[in-house]
Amino acid sequence: MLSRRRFMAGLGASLVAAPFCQLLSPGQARAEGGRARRLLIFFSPNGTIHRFWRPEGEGRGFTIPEGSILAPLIPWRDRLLVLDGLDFWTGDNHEGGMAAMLTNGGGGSTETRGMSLDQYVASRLGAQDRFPSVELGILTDIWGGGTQTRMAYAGPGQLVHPDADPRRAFERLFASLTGDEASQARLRARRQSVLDLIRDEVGDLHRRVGRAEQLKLEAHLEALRGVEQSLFSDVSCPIPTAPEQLNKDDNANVPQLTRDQIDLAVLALACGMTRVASVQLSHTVSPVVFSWVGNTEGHHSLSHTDDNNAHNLEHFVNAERWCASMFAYLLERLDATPEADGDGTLLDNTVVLWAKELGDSRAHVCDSVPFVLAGRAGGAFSPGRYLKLGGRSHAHLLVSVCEALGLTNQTFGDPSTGSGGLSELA
Amino acid sequence: MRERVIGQVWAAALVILALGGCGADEEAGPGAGEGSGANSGSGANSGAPGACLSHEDFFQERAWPLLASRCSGCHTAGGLAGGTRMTFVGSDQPGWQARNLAAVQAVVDAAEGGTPLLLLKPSGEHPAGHGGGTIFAPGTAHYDLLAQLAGRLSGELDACGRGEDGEPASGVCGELKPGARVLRRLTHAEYAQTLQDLLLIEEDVSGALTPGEVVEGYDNPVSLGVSTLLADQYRDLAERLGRDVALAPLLPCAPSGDGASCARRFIAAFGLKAFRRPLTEEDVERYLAIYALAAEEGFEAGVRWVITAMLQSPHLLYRAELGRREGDAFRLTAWEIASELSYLFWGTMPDEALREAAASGRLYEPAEIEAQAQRLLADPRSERVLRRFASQWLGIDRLPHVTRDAALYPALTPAIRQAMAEETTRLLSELWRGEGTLAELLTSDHTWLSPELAAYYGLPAGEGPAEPGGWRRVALAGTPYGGLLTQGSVMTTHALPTSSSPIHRGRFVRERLLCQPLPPPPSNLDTAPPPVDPTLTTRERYARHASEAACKGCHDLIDPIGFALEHYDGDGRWRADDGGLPIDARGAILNSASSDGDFEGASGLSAHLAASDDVAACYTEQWVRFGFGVSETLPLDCYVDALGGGAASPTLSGPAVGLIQTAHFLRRLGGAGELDAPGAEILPLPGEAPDPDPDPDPDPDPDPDPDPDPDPDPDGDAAFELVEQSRWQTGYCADGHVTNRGATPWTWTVTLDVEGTLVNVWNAQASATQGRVTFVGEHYNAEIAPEQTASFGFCASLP
Repeated sequence: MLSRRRFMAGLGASLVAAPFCQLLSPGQARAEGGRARRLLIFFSPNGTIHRFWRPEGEGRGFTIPEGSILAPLIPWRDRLLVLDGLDFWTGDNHEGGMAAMLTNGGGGSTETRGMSLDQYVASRLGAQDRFPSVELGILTDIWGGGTQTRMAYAGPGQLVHPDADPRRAFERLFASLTGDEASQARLRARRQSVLDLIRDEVGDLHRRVGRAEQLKLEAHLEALRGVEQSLFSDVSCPIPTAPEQLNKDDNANVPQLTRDQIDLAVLALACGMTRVASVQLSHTVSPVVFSWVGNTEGHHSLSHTDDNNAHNLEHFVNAERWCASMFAYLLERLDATPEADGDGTLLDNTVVLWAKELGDSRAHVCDSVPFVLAGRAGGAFSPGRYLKLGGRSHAHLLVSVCEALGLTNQTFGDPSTGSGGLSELA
Repeated sequence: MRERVIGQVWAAALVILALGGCGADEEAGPGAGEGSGANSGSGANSGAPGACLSHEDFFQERAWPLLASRCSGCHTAGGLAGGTRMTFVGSDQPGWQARNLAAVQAVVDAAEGGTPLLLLKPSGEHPAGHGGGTIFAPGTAHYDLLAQLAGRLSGELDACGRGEDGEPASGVCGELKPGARVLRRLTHAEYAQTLQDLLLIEEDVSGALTPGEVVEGYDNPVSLGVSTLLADQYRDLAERLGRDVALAPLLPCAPSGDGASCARRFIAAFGLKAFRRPLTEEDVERYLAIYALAAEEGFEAGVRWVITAMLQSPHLLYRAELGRREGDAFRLTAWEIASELSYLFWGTMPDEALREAAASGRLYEPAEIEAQAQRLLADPRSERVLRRFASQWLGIDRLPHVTRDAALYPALTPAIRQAMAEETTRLLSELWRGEGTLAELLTSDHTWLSPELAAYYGLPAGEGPAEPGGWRRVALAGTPYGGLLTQGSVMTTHALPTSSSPIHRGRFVRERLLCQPLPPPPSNLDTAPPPVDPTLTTRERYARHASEAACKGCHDLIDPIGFALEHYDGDGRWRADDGGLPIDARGAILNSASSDGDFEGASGLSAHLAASDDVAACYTEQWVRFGFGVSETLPLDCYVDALGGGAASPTLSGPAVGLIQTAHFLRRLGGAGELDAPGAEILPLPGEAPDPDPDPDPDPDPDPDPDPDPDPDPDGDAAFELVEQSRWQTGYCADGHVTNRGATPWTWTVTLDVEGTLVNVWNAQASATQGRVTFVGEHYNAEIAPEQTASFGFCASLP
């Protein structure tokens, strides 16, 4: 049974310009003994070209060269774990990589039941949160949902769609109850009765149909449970300023949309609305033109530039460096948000993962897929290092993230790709 | 002008009332007579896969086209799979048929765990995987075809595709089988259109909903469901619309007392439209409870919350295609058929006429289904579905968003892109309505242009009166334009930000016009597109694809098609040269099922495609996908065959209209434990609809007795007949017919004592006073000329 506790006073008031308020939900327990409290995943598409991505040196003695893709992260060097040499053993190519990136394949009978990392963590940690997870996208609507365009899975084949409209997402996150106590109580009662009615109807349909349609209806019931939870759990955050309404499908708006979605993700975590958030910048095979860094070709085309084409290589690297700058912006926002209990900042206690779906984009392979972790994960990770992991399965990274969040699964996705985490991260 | 007021007291039951001694209505109601053909799937056998063929002929005619298009890209000597057991040779090689059959025999004989490699590998089920990924998933028609081939070549099946038990193998069409019972969630466009029609609002709410899955290019696969995000977006919309909608036009009554009886009428009337079926008493009670809760703030608040709830109801969100058990299958109810028709051709909920045809049971008649389909297609509202089909079939739904270098293509403004999409829709629509063929679309000698688009192309803007927006039909003879492939919408969508793209266009033709999906580029190949080089044409830049074996296998399927379109730039306009270099627009189709050949330029390619059976079958296939929703359970190939397959270039509307007379449109397969559609128990059964004209005798009782009651028609020149069309446990529908037996025109008014609560009315306006309902005609049937009849109808719910 869900709690129907009173919404905190002041919610209806629009408190402007307090996006990084020090108001963490008391419901989120303090991490203890090196445990992260939250997970935030950032995605950018179309692989990389390793010689422009790799830092120099190794271990603690590494440096990020000026002009390289990761250059915008130089100020954050000591807070990073740059991971080189993790392979996807369960998928190759654009679609395969996109699907394997956060699931590691394996299907529904595995320990993680075909879920993506974010959804698995949410299913284990988010049951009492207003939102078990929050998925935000940038230019993820245009092609609709498919293997190319989605990275989150609620189970095998069950795509989770991100919200590509920051304004719409904002309104969902901060959907407020206005008016006096009595009218709020009335509204809650009506919403509850509508949800109950719909549930009855879905249940009635459920007994009439075959298994495939029953699964569809069970997912619907699960969705209604999620709606109920988001409507009736506590919120403990003043309402910040809403992002400007932008055309969410316009290539030219990508820089602002990306910042807005990052702001929202950090807000959702800071306000205790969820402990799992993701920001997905476009998708594999993305045709986005990074015109704001001077590009004219689409990102996917540029990602296939061969080594003889210096002009297009430069444009690809410029685009990738811009993505790194957005990841740096994300770290900045997290680090500017102190924990409510005074124990460091959000960045200190959150697992922050920048993931990609391909290794060398020219070859369509998922070898040495570039990952960057940031923050201490509440002490679970020891950042400030560049690790060369020599072709191990990225399953170990996924397990490590779970471990840092206090989960005990030993495998992630296909168990034949190995068990246990990456001990090097601690 | 005189007025005729007709009063009648009608209590119940099936009645035929004549007034003033005049005869019964002479117009026989539609749909009289014959039983409803239950076996609409019959007759679908001709040409279906599985007809008796020798194994060699089966291989050559049925299987080879599939293998040629889907496997031979890699499985050739020198191809990526050139070192495997299954290596094909081209049709220019001696003995190629026998050699290719032998290659297949080898992977049939090589079995692991009892399953031949021919099935294990391309299905992705082999433990070591398949280099080309999953090509034929189990459960698909293509997989079944391969399974039948394997069965034949291993000796398990005979020449008629039957095993030792005499049963046909799975995947053999036989009698056309319907797919599974499904709940099809409305697409966002359908939901938005339904809300516009249901709430009488202008707003398009589809932008408030996050897009769902797109499968095979279509946004309406049967797998669509409701996620938490979507459920929350529905809730948010429903609360806002429930709060803001103007209530007066939606209310069938004015409340009195606690308003409960008017609320009940509202729920029945609004619910009938929203759920696309009459509500059961249980339905009504559920919503009355919502009403009662919110009505503490008054009648309006109660009704608003009923609306808010219904807009989130699964009965609105899903189109139930569940039916009622009939033997070992389920027969869709007349209401479900009405919904199928309406969403297929209008993309919205059924209108009054469809609801009436469903309520009366007439929609069980194939002739009535056909008539309704033709009515819907003739209506301008079908344009939006045509537009949606075309944009998803051709991929031009992405046209507004494909990125182009503004410095290279400054004239390609958002307005021009929009006009390009409009051009395609207009041509398609014109040909569709004129019984035009697919071949005509591909080779059309004219198009539709606005002055702006004409100027963009450098074409004349046409002559004569224009349609709104300046659109005119423009002849293209003597210009480099003509046919679908030369339209800016198609050429611009399938191009790159700074150039044309033979790859994108070749792939478009291969996948969307020939229905031959390509495997993704393999891993571990350098797939860099060649850099733009001012000294080379685009075609020359791609020459490497034809010279390197690793590329050639697949790119032979793609590039030579796209080369024929090189005269059309990345902004969709014809160009004489490629950056000053001459264009070589010779092209070819290789390794297709039956469309191989050489041609030159867009006109050559278009003419070649227009004559192709593959293209004709593909167009039909696209309509099966779009019309029925991409589904795992529907035997796609069998439906394409049943709808005429690739016999001759179909009319553009033919495959769409053909869908409605197939088994799947009317029936579904379901398991033993499955139950009837909700509310099915209160609907009329097929054949139960009362015959609206039981007595065709045109000369009824001539009894002139003019005086049953105070006769409101003292002149005796009006006749009225009320015919009950259907009745079920909680409601009924009836038609009224008013006939002018006099010598001068007049307008009519009919007052009835209607049993139960009026739910909906068509072809008349109704108002209730003191328990009686007064009907007056609409502007088009209010006045009746001598010897003419005006008809109207209504449905009512019973307590």
